[in-house]
Amino acid sequence: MRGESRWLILMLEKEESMDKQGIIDASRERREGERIFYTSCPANGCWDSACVLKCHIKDGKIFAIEPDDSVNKNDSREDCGWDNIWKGNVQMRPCAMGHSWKKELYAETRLLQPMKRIGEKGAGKGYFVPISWDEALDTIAEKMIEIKEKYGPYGIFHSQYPSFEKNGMPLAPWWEAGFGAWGEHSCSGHAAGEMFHLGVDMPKCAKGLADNLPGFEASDIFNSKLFVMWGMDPVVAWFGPTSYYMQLAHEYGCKTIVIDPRYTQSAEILADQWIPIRPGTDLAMMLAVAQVLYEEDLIDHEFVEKWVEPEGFEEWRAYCMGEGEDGIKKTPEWAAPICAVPAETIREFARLYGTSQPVHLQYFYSCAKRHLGDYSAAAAMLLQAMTGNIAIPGGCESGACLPTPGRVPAPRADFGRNPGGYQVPVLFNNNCLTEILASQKDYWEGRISEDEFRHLIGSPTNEAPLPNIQMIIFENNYANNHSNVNKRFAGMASTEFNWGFQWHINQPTAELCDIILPAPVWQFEGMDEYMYGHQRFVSGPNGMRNYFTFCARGAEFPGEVRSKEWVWTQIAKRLGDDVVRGYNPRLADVEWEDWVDAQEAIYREAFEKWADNETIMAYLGYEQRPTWEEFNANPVVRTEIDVPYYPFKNVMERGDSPFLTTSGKVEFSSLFVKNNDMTETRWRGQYEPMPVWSPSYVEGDIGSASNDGFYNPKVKDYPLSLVSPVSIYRQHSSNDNNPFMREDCYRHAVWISGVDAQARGIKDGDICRVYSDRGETVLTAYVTNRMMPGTAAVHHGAWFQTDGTSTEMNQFGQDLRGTPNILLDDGHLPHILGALIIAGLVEVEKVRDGDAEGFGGEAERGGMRGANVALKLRQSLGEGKE
Amino acid sequence: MTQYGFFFDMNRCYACQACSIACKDWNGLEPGAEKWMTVYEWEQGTFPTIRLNALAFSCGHCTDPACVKVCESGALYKEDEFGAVLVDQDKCTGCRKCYEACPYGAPKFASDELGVKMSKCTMCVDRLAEGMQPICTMSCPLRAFDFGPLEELIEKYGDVRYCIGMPSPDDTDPAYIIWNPREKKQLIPYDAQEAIALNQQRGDLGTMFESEEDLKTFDEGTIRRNELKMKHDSVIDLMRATRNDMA
Repeated sequence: MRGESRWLILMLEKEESMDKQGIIDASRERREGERIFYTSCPANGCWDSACVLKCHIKDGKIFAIEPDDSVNKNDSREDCGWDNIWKGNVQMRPCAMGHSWKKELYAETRLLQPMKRIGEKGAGKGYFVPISWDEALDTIAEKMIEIKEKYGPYGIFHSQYPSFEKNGMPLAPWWEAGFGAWGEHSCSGHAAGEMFHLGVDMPKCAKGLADNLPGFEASDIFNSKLFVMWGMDPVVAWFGPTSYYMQLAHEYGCKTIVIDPRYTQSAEILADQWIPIRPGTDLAMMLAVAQVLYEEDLIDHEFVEKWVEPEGFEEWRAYCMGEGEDGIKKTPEWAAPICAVPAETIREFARLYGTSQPVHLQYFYSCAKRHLGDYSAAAAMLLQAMTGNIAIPGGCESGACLPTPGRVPAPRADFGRNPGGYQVPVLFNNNCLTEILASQKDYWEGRISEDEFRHLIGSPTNEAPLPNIQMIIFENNYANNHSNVNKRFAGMASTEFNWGFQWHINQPTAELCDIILPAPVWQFEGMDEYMYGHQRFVSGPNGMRNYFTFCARGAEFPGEVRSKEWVWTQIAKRLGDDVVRGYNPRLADVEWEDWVDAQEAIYREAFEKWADNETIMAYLGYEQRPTWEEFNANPVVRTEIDVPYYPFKNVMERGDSPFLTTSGKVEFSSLFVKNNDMTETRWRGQYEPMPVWSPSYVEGDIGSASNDGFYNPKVKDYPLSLVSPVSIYRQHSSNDNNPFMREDCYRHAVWISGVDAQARGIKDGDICRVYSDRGETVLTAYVTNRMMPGTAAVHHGAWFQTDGTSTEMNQFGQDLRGTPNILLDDGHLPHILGALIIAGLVEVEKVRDGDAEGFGGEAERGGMRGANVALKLRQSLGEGKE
Repeated sequence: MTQYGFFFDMNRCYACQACSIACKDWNGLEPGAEKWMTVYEWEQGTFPTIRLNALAFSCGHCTDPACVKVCESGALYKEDEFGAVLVDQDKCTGCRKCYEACPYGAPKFASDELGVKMSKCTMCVDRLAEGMQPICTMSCPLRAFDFGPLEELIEKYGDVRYCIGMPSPDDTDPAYIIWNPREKKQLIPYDAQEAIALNQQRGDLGTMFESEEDLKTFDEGTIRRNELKMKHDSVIDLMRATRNDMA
């Protein structure tokens, strides 16, 4: 009663309402004099989801970020009606990272000036001292010239996107150096099967040389009757509109199943049912599903008749039915003990799958980047083909299944670059860089044969030039982000001179550089482009390309940070007049003080030209031509999705075959594979023409195939089958140091099942040593019953951070922050080269009780506190003392 | 006064914490325990019969707020336009009586130091005053929230203000409506016993565990985040309950 009467009194007091007013006033004061600009923060690693961020900026700094408000303002639930949802008229709300950027931009650990390394490369072997921009640029240009002279144009490797047979080095076309790779990272386990069986060539799609795009637009999921997320965790791994649409589909009656070793958040909120399966055994279950479909004739004969090459179809049928060479019928009973899925479940799954067309069965990228992944990816595509689900509304291609056509004509800034005369040569497979660095010395000094070297690095032909990398130019955190970190670090430390752009002083890649340059965060600072060819008119992600966002001019550069395009221009000047006139003719003579203005002027020019085009304005529904100021205030430009794109829609509708194989049909048994000696193709392996169960660990002339299999004899020493899924709090490794993430949202841990933890005396929060035959790391244990026995998980993207403590397995010291890549082998699929391996076999042992906060140690902290562990090692060698 | 309130759909939440960080970003809060919007994630069951829950809870802005009743300095009060429970930090002495009284752990403290002033969810009255909705509700990637006059929300979403593990709403009458996790209907048969038996074997390489019992019984503390706990003894305790393992 006492409280209540006080409450009544308070209600009457003026002072009380003043305080509410105080909150309102403080908020207004904070925003007074602010400028608002919109941007998008796609970064490869968050599926380029291109969310829309409304940024509040004051005194040159961002102080708050609101979600997209360009449609459906002030509608939390966004109940905007089915019609609008189908058409894609929905907000592009960012994730937690999207709201956390100010702590990344203004981090204590932000690299704010150029620095050069004293001593050798590699953690614990050197340290950094600050240098001027002039010294940095002069040294870099001199070294580039020197290394090109000494080792030729293939002595220089640029880390940004050599994939898809391109080269990310901005100056390559005019300076004529550098090289590209075939393949890419993301769908690298699916790519071979996709090409051999379906005739879908992702690099060609990405370059616009083929238009059989295998993606689907988000609202096409509403056409599905059954949605199978096989190894797929969309709410984490496919952030953005597509996973939201999947949630809506689930709510409104689409049947949904998750097949995964872990009970993921997607299994909880997107799925009716979870089927746990042992990692790396997907192929066995798929073969059993196929066997049931063949036996019970649950086949779309009309589709098969029209689009499937008959001989191969019959070969695979015979194989599944036990009429092939091995004589084994691939029944659910055969698969059950391999997969640890009951036979009845497999059989009933096959029946549901075979009778639910249209089915969106998506076999996720990660599952294929491991032992037997190549064949299982192919089998997923063949299942979708035999059930007629591969090229229909509500279906799924189940390969890359990503690219969809754009819908919005966007402006294109013209920097006046000429194309240059240099054809980027393709020298290796995109995921074999570590192998080049490890074996190039042996090749050039005659200790291994040319043939051997070509096979190790995935040389595309026997005539392709061979690399001798003595300079790596890093545009990212590349060193840390692929498997076999120890081998990778050692190779990168062995070159003559590396340099690159880094964001934080404690980034692991910095340790492999002789000069580090402070990098801008392009989405928020200055006016640089995103990555090659991606200007600041940023398209929505595949699946929702019905809008673009102009990422307007944002915050000031902190410290000595400068535009990357300015840096490349200054280097180009030092490399020769032809180079700078080729690369940046319009800005070549612009002073630094005027640089961002000059970039912005070129973007404005592009806008004006676009806005002058009446056809485009009418198409986009502008009643009046917008001014530059209006465009900046409303820079999200949308159209409506009329009929959602489904796999190959464009090609199917014009009556052509989307299957660009030898036969022009889906080939269950690939004619390309049959007609070629695969060991002499760029894949350099012994691939079977159709997916078969061959659980071998070493195959053909490839000596180091992926050894992550659940039944590999190695499990006697390393009994846990590890996966390394992407995180929702890092874009690859970006934001790993952000205290808004690491100190607030999550605990980076090794996932271990209750039964495995108990057997090892491990409790949740304990500090553990996780080790494999490739490396080791220290991690906190997350003990959960959400996992199958015998499995483990560590999320991708955590940075290697060491205080120099020596260990049995790591050349550069114990990793105290838990990069999973240090545990993984850089091998490849058993049958072919090309995939980036993301799984391995490990053991976990308890080191000590955890601290109450759940951090494994100081290095697990965000911000300067976590960074200090690594920085102290450099300080002990001399950093900060000169 | 019109009482405003929140609606939260547990079936759409995956504990991603976008709401929590958007709140901190908008309100200028630092990383750590001052989580005005708090996101809990916890599991129930054992392999292979398992569920995962997530609750995002800021403050009930209760009709009968326990915190206001016990505040001796008059710092806590119920605001008269939206029914928000607010704290006047100038008056707060940091005595923590409100924390003891609130069943939901809504009053937040940046540290365990005695005398640290309490801070809490303001219902974004600054945004409401400008006709905008609270930042947390607008930032949910899966649109798990709604916000508005409580009566309207009740009409739209029913009147359950509780999920398993939460204190009874009868004590304080929170303006927080919740849709609880729906039952899952299995599409195809899955025999858990048989699955466990299959999981026990590893081909020629031996067995994975001795008996089914090993999957069901654990020493104290082996599994930790297996219940909803909204009141915490310390900042560390709170952080432990609200940092998930999705990274």
